[in-house]
Amino acid sequence: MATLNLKNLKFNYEDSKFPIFSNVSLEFKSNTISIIHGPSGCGKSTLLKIIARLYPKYNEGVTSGKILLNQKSINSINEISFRKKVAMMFQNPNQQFCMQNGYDELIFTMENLQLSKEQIVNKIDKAIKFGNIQQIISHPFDTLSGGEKQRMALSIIYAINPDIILLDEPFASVDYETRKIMINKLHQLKDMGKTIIIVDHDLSLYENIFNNLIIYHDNTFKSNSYETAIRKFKEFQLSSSIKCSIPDKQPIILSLKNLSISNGDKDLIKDSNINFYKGYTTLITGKNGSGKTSLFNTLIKNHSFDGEILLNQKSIKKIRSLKYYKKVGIIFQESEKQFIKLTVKEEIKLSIKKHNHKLFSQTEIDNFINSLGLTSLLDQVVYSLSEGQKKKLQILSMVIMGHSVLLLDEPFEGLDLKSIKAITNIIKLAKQRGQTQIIISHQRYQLEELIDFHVQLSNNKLEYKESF
Amino acid sequence: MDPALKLITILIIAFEISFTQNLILNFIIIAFSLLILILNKIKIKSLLHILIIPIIPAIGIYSSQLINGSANYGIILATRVYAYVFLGATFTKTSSIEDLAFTLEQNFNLPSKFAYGVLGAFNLTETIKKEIKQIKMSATMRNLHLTFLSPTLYFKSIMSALNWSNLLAEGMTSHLFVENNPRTHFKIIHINKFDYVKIIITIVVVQLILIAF
Ligand SMILES: Nc1ncnc2c1ncn2[C@@H]1O[C@H](COP(=O)(O)OP(=O)(O)OP(=O)(O)O)[C@@H](O)[C@H]1O
Ligand SMILES: [Mg+2]
Repeated sequence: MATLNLKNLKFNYEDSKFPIFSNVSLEFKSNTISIIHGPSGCGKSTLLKIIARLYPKYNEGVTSGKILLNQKSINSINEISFRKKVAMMFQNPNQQFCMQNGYDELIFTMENLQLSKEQIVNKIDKAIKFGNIQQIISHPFDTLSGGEKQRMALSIIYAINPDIILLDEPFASVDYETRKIMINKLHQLKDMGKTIIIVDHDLSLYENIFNNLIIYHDNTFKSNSYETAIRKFKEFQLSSSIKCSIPDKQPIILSLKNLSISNGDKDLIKDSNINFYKGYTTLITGKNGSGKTSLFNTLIKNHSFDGEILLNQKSIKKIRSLKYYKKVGIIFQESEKQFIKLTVKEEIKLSIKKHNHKLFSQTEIDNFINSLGLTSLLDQVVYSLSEGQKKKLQILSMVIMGHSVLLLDEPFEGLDLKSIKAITNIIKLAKQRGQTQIIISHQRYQLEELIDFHVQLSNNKLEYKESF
Repeated sequence: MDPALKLITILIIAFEISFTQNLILNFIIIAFSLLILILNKIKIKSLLHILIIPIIPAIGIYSSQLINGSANYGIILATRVYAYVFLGATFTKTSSIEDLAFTLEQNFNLPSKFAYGVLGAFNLTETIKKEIKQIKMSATMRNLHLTFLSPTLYFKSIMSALNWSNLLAEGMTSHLFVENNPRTHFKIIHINKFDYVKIIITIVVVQLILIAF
């Protein structure tokens, strides 16, 4: 049982004139779930990391104001006892794991908690049940899907069993069904007396379990009345399934013939035939870990396969990588993988200079930079961007390249609705100018106007569906 | 055998062969390491690797000595290269880096921070390798062709490795790692008394060979 109070909290990066946020005064009681919501880059992750006492230690910033845990300033609490009481799940799970797999990571954490061998075994059992991670616990992290990593990270937080649980976009990569299950588990934790604080850009499914909705406004974070909250939640109600057509005689650009791929000993796709059509946007859906990203890896010649893949009737095995990557590009699920340069400006300039096809005029690109909110960040180092800002920069840089086929792996992950809209507009324009797009996304907001066809990956088969 | 003790023994032997010129000792070390490697079921491919890769430096050293007219010394130097490689391979193929870190922490009183530092450093080489591959691919998709000589490639991979190591410290803290705080150990590593006997015997045998030949 614990209460957390923020009093007049303010945070400044050393090199910037304006604080990221100021005047933040909030109270979090036990037995509650609070949700923090705001546009990308407004400082949500920063806020959680300050509460978790990771900042300013691990970045160059200055805080002022007070944070009280059970009415005691957090800086006066001995570090390990503080960490046992307050634990945080990071937005990017890769930045939180220090061992090679979930099992070792759990052991490492439990050793730090000074548990005996028997206690550790017991804790691991419970964590496995909580997060349903039996299948993935001993797989190396770099082979796990985004959603699996998040489930693992959440299970570790559960094993720490802190009074105060801070979660930064904990479901950004998990599918809707898993989201439902996990939110239910959070409800149970709340009933056990925990204080839970969640940062989420997606407000669906929280309506029945939340106590407090905190929204960023005017450079600060503020609680909202119940009515305002309910109104806000309504914006996130999922529309029932959206109809789309099944392709028929459109010109084919990519053709997969008797395709089989596997990951280690696990079959992902078995003997599937499917075509993708030129100048259309196809959505691919499937459960967490079903093999969507592996399919994309196959399409960029980075994963072995059986069967045949034809690009414009030519087997991709016969096209040299240098030539192939001029035609087929991918937007990786992990934004940082895409960056080549140091700053935002350099990254965009590189694409403008090296594009394959000129899809956009300079004025259009300047407008994109503006609508994505990147204008004031042009000189910032890419690593220091917020996760959402990274995503937006990554997408912009790749779309400018003008590939004939662009693969987009979860391009909307962790983004607010306004950014999603801005990105959808850019992608749509690229399609109008001839680009073929294949998108993996479990996120469905704004997809209606973008998606032409829908392919589902289930039971190891790829199949066109009439709705999504 | 305990990985840290094994490492110490290997370092002592390597140190000794760099200061003595004993062809027979070099051959015995190579043969003995080979035996250990085979007993540990080393893959043919890795075996070929460690046989072939040192060929170039070994031949280079040998021929440069040949030019100076000291063929014998050339052979000693060339076999020495192989002895080093085989000693190194015996260590890496027969012990896990995790166990080394754990025993350093538990039995040699090294601060946990250093033990995990050792682990981190080993993983870092792996990380950088993957990073380089990733960067090359991402760059190709942006029509930028990085070869193994491009400064961008190294600049970028060092940048991301540095970034990664900063993040690692933060990640460890978030999973309750606090410097100088006591920790328990799930896998307890005991040093067997025989390990010490083994070290002493090995080193004595090496001295005997040196004296005998
Ligand atoms: N070292 C730094 N120097 C200057 N600005 C920085 C630095 N690190 C982060 N920022 C900026 O601080 C702001 C807040 O970042 P933060 O990660 O907290 O945002 P966020 O609300 O979590 O966004 P998202 O929803 O995209 O995750 C961003 O605008 C980011 O660019
Ligand atoms: Mg964030």
